[in-house]
Amino acid sequence: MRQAMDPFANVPSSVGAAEVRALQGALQGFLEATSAHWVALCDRAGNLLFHEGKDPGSDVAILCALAAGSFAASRELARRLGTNEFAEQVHEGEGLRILLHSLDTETLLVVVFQHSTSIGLVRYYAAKLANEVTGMVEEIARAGAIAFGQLPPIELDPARPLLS
Amino acid sequence: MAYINYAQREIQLKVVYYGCGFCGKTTNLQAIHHTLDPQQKSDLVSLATSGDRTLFFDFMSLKTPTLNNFTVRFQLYTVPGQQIYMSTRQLVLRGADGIVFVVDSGWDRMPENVESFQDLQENLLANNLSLAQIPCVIQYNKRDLPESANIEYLEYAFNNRAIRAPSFEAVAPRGEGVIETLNAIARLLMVKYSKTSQAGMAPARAQ
Repeated sequence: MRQAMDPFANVPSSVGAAEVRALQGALQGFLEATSAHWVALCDRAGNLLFHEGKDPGSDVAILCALAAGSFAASRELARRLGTNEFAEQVHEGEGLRILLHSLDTETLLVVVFQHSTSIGLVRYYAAKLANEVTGMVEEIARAGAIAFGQLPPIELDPARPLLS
Repeated sequence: MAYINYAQREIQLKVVYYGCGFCGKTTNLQAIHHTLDPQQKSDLVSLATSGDRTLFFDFMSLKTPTLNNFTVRFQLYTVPGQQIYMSTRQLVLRGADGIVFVVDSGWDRMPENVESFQDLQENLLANNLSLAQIPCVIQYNKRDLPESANIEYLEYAFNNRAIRAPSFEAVAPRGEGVIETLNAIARLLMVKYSKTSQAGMAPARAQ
């Protein structure tokens, strides 16, 4: 008999829908204040935590993996030059810019915005957003990190591959 | 570490393909990308040199509607195999949930395989992990080489532990053994992270 298999059934009460809504509201507020296209929070391993805004035109999992990789490379560069990690990176393309901002030791803020938006404005609100959401993100990320044996039992059919 | 994304009702698991240069890690991802249903997969992204050698990593993500009302997203990465990219491999390993160690079956590549295997263990240690803790599958690639090492030797060299990892023979450019390897690590991760029994797991070695 198939068992109830909702891993979200055990979400800690301290991290409920209200906290998630508050975080999404903060990201939406950031987009309104800056007119940026898209904003995301991802961890340093490249996992997407949250994102808001217009479709960035590419798979968000790929964007987060590349953002985490880019930040990891610059941190290693800083370490080898004997300095602290660079807390922020801006990449400028022809039509778009990307800001990568270190929220804390585990989380990155990724912002995609147009040239018509001032970098200073995005930086200002990114720092403001970081102060606003760091505690929430830490709590949600802590609740989201799962350990061995933590998910409910899963019915795996030996004859049927998971991926085909 | 595996992560539940509450907003998207999605579980994210990171799998890293590890092995020496030219062992076939990127070819594995290319074969997976070529084979799997387009609705399940992202683009394959390669950060490579102009000579097609992996510079930083290759990446693709796969989604499976395995469970009721939520999906599992497997994030597949490769590391650059060349010795000089030691620090890059350590960065890519950060947050890994599972490892596929790809062995080049050519006899002449054994020193590189052994060195890469030791390098893996050192880099896991730097990430506070070990092969005893992290789900791992071994793939003996390039089985079509005329001068390939025999499987017993390879098992002794790379899978000689109290709890042996599932291992597979493969010829990655032809896709042989590639999806089997992927499904073994996917299933192993699902079993490890849930309270599911080992029933239905692949045997310790299969082709």
